[in-house]
Amino acid sequence: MDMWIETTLYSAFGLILHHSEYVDPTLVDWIKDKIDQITGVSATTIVIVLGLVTSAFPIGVMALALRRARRARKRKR
Amino acid sequence: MAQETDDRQDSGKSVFYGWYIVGTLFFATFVGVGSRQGFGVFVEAWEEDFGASVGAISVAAGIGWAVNGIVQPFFGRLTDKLGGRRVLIWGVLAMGLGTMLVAASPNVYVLIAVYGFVVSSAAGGVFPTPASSVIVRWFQRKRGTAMSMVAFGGSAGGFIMVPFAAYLLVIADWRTAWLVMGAAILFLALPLLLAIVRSDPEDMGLNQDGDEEPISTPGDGNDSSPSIRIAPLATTGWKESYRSAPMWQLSLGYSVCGITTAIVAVHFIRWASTEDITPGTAALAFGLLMAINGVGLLVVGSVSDRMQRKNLLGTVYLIRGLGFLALIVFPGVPALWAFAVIGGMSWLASVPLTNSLTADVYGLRNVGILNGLIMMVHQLAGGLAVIIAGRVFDIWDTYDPVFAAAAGFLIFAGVVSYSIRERKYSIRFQSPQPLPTSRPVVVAADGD
Repeated sequence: MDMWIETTLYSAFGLILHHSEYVDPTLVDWIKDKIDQITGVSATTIVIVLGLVTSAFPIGVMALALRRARRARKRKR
Repeated sequence: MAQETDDRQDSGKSVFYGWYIVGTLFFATFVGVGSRQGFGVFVEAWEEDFGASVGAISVAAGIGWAVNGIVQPFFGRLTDKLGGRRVLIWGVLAMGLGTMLVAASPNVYVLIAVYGFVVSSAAGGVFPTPASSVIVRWFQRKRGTAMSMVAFGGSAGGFIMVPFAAYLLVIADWRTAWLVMGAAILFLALPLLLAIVRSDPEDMGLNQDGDEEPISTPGDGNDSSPSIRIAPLATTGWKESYRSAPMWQLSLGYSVCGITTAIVAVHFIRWASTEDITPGTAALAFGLLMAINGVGLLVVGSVSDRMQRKNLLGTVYLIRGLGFLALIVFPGVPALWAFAVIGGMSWLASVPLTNSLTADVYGLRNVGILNGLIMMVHQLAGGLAVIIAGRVFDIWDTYDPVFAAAAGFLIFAGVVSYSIRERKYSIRFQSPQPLPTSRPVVVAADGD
């Protein structure tokens, strides 16, 4: 395969950080190695922590919105 | 009506409801963009499971990239016609279901169909066009701040969701990982959107920015009567926008944005390899770029509400140009760190500035399709640049000509952005005009 065609195909990866493109697999490996080196915790722990971080935000926003609605109802009464 | 009165009373005493919309769209962008970026994590697993080459899997990614760009004007138009709430809800629903459907892919061809077409087009129904089109309707004075917070969701999503997907793959298989990501979209983002997002402040009897009256400026000599400011280039048809300079200036600048970010992001690993940069150093520099990117984005968005946005946009492009020059001037590792710092400041900041300026200049009636068209140009230009950059490297065995061209393009984009006549064309710098007496109190601020 021509090198530039190969480059084009492979280049579908790597467009990270700007809009909604894809992370480069090699870069992910590098980052994962660095996270392992820095944190030293198991993969399960990292999944749980990141899962909790991800879930906490919408729950927090929903709780604040509910509180706002409840206050508005009270004022209405 | 009672609900409207209630919301009006409430708006004066608590946080403006628009900020709840910002929080919700931040999260929709977070999971939407984050899970899409995670695609690259699964390449090796698919190679093994499907027996497919990276090239074949790349077809799904490449199609997804193009489709996501091409559908932006379509979803923008839908947002203008149907309202952002409907588009966002259906977009997130389709994206969540599509993401879960990826888990059921039996081979690479189904993966191409589901991911390349279904998930990628559905993602266009979330970010950036529909989300930004909702935000510009809720905010005018704090438009830049609000836009940057939503855009930050994409950055944070990549930061959290990509490692989340990578570690999920360690403890489970790729199918489970996609099911979990789909569930996050369906069971976290969708309910939040359903409960909170409204297309327009008028839907709740509110005004932009939470103002008591529609956008008005005191000191117009007639403070006792309501007045509005009108976007000078607000048009009834979107095609008319192309008869004015700002649309071309914004599109040109944003296409350079697409070209330059795509080049670096795609060719980063190969460039790092040619410069003998170790993976650990590259990963750390990447983390630094991400962190600076987030801070830079929020700062630029906030500052843009206090000064002419075009000056910031021009500066963002010029700063990024300096980053590219650093890649040529400095050797490997110093160049990497210089780019991480300089490039990080400007990486995403162009998004809220461009989308806000478009709304400031052209009003709200067609802002969805206009933002979508500008975004499409960004994606297509980026895709073309990636191919050309790869070809240049194959011929000359160096990225220096590519980086030099990128720096040149960015200087051009900076000059073009500075030349936008914002004081003449932006609603922010217009004098208020009296409201017709027959007009209801709540109106859109661009004369729609």
